[in-house]
Amino acid sequence: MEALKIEGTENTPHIDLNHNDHSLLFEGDSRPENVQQFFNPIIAWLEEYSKHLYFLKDLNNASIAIECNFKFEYFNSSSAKYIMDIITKLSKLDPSITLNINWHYEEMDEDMQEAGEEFEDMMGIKFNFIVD
Amino acid sequence: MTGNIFDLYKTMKSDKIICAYHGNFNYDVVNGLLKTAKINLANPENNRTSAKKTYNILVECLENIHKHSEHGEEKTNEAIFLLTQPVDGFSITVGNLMPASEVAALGKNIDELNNMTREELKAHYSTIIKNGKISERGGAGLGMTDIALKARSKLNYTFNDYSDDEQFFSLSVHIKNK
Repeated sequence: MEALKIEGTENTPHIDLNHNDHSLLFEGDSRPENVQQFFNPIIAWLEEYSKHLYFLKDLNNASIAIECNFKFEYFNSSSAKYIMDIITKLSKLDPSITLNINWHYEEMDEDMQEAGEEFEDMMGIKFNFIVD
Repeated sequence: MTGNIFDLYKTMKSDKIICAYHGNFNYDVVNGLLKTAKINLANPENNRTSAKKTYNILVECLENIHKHSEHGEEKTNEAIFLLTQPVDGFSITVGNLMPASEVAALGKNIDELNNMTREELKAHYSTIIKNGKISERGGAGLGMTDIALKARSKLNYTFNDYSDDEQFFSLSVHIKNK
């Protein structure tokens, strides 16, 4: 498989998904004109990644730790639906894999903080909250 | 006409309107308005928490119009938007025409949101996001709930008669400084 890198624009986030060092980054504003078109390749990549991890963990018996950073400045409500799908995919990975979800927000942005807390509650996974 | 614009100027000044627009709401227009609003909200004298919150809510309000206010034979998204700065925070007001047949359902939806406690609102949001599908218009059906959650105040709305089959819907959201 290949890494997925999408440059950010004013309305779409910078995406950097790397299966080699297991780092996932979502950063910036998210309110794409066509939300499905933007997020479908990301969901498809995560499905590939999930298969990749399945073989990888059998292969080298090594411990795998995923570092996932959400650094959104803003996301609209239709993006929220996809962010939840992304977190759902991650939550279904093999429990032997360490999953670190870092939810970044600016101190004054209580909506972004709350959005992270809501996802954490809904998915039942612990997030690390980081004030930038 | 020059007299009218002077009146409009005085009104905008006295009503503390910091951003206003009337016309078609397509994706590019919404982008432009958000950019303009962001510059005005970024004024260092503003309370940063409420300024950011106002921006967050504004995006949903303007996208709602862009996605849901298509009307008439020409399928335009003609609407009006005002961003004002009362002494205690910010206020967003949007207005658009909509089919009279959809008025009752929208009014009922907003009344229900207004009557929910914060915990109920969160549970409602969670139900929609878990079960909802992205519509053809690109909406997740979350917009109004998201606005209610972020605003932490009641959503004020009015319907005015416009024509036999259309009503003018206006929504006002008040964001208080923290």
